[in-house]
Amino acid sequence: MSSDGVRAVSDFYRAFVRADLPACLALLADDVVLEPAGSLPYSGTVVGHDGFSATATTMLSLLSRAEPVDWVIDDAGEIVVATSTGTFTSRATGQTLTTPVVEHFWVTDGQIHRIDAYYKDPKSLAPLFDGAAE
Amino acid sequence: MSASDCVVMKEFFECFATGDIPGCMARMHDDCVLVEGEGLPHSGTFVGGEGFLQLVTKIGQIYSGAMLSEVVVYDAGEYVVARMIGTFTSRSNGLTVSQPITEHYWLTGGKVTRADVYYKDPSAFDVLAADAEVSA
Repeated sequence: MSSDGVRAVSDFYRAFVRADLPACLALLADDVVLEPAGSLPYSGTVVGHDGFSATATTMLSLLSRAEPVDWVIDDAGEIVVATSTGTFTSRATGQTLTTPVVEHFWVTDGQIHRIDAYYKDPKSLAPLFDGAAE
Repeated sequence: MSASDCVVMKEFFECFATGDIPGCMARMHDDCVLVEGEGLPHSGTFVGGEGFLQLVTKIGQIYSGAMLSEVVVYDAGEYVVARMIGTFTSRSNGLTVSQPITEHYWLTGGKVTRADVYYKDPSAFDVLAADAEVSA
């Protein structure tokens, strides 16, 4: 990877925090593969812009806030590693919970091809989704 | 980190794969802090060689098999990143769970000072721990 990869991921995070879906999609390859953390209403591997949009739509339907806080983005050669405090607010109850998040990105020519996400404790976020279909 | 730190971590994982626990401990500082993933039967924070032994013992009590495969190590500057597949078989019911894991390692003087572990789906372990009884 390179500084270009770090820049692409930084731009992606900034766009995600703004909930600027078109700006996010502009940084994603057409065949991007998204692998969210497990046991969440938006878990499950998806492919392409439609897949990413569907996952983002599910997240935003349940969460009024879903963003990385205090993120650090590091070049790790073949991958870019982003660490942050994932901060999530339930749209239904207003409750906010946090958990450490690690995401790995594969970037080529400024385009993100794969995102692999890990939450430290996905179970701890369950109260935010009570009643939501999984 | 450095290329030599990545070599240390590859050796660490080779030791773990062969059950060479002293070999793992030889690559850890005495006050190394290992933070396991949350929501797992073997979750917890383990300090030093004694803590690592506690973790290994706990894993041995819960699982009849605990294997890390497809281990890949990257130098991320301030730390080493490892990606792998973890496969765990319950000692109580024989069921197996396999899933991606990522681990971050900080090293000083060629030894691990801190490790931070993330599992893709800790809830998947619930089925393995359902009947397990583990002494503290």
